[in-house]
Amino acid sequence: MLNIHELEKQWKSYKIKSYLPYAIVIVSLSVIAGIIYSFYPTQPKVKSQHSKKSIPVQHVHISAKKTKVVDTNKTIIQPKAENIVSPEPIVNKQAKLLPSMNFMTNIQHETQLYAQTVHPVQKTAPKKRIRKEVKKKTSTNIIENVRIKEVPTIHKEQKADITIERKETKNDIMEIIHRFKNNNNPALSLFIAKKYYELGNYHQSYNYALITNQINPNIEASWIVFAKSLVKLHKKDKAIFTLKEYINSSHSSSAEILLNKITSGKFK
Amino acid sequence: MNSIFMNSKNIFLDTVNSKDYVQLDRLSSIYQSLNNSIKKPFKMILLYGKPGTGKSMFLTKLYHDLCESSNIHLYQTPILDENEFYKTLAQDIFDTKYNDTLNFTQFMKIVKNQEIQEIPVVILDEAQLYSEPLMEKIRLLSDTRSIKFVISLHKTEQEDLIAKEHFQTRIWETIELENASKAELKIYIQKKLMKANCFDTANMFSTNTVKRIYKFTHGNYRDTNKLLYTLFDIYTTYEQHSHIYPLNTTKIPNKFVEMAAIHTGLIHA
Repeated sequence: MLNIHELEKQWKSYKIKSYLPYAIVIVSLSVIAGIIYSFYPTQPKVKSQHSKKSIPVQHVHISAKKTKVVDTNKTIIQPKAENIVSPEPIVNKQAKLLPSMNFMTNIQHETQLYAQTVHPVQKTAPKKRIRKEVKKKTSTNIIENVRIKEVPTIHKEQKADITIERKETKNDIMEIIHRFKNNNNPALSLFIAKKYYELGNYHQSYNYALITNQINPNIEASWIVFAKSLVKLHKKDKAIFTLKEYINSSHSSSAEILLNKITSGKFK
Repeated sequence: MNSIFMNSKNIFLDTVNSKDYVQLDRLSSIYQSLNNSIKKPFKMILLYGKPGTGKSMFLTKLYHDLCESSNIHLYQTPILDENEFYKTLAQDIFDTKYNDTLNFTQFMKIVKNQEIQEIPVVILDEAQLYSEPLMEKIRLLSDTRSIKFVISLHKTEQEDLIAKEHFQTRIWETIELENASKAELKIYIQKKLMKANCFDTANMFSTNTVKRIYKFTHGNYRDTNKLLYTLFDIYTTYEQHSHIYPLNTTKIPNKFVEMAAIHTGLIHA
């Protein structure tokens, strides 16, 4: 007669042995997955930056399409219309970054300022564009057509901006500040300075532009934000002095344009 | 208590009995070719294969089928003493009793003096156990065409050498027996059980169960018999202690097959 209890014990140890390789593989895979996951959180942050940068590209495509629509309807003004549209992305680039400032509500309590600054910029920018277009054109009838057809395209761009607001997280600016504290990257501090400036928090934009200049004094955009912030903080003389010093060292054309605007009173 | 499991267990006892021979398609064709070879003027026929491939059973079956119609003699256990070997052959084949020692020369004289109508067939199982000088003499005997030898060998490197040295230049036929395939193993098990009227247990062997058995035995008939004997022994034990494990008579649990494999030493716990 078989010793069935002993045999069952042996069978159990056999089963354990047979499953052991699988268990080892599963455990090692989970450990590897855990290690990979621990490095993973850094990647989405990088992606969020890229996504922000990619947004203007989408707008450029949209605007290009719109201009094509205009082109089909017009015969004489075709080349002019293209010339007019081409500077638009530059204006839009500034406006498109505005929605991300929603997240600043967590940091500061200047929501009213945000509401005042964001919308006027979006509304006035297209108007200015249209005015420029009008000035450049000679035939009044055709200009009217242009006005009629381009206005709806601007509205569509504004709608696109709204969708961008929804996509971004509120903690983005905090994350960028946190990342800047970690790695002292001047690109990040400049980004923060720009954001604060766009929000109307000129004191903070001045601070971050100053920090950027200290880290890397060769960033033109940083000096411009710095000077603009000074003007907004009613330190026009200091802004002019700073810009002059920077122009002397770098011969920056953008800085010269800004200096002219400040001195002529166009930029207040 | 004679339960279905007890009866099934006894079927797989490792015995060589021609009545237990299970006819499979491949084996029956090999059997037929061996049967035909015996009728041909071959001096020697070599049957070889790994242990447990059914060589002994095959030769037993052949002997029982031909013993009434032919002058055939089977030696399942080797006669290692040379003198005894000749004396046994002289007595069995030529009805000549020798009380004194009988050497090869004397035996050759006996063979030559005999007027034989039908060449006697001598089947030597486990021939790898014979000494080299004796094997050489068996070769010389076969050259006289007075006795036809059917020898079975285990297929190992050493035994292949023996086969080469002694039989390579002779006119002989070689037949190799191999392990069963999965399909053959299923037929073998079920036929064996059904032959003994164990239809219930025969139906318990599904393809998956046979695959598992094949995994452990690689289709070796002897290992399969051992495993199945233990398997039904386990069933019998559980049956006697029904409180330990509820028995299912429709399907064989993998646990039982694995336990039987552990007990027979086919796998190690």
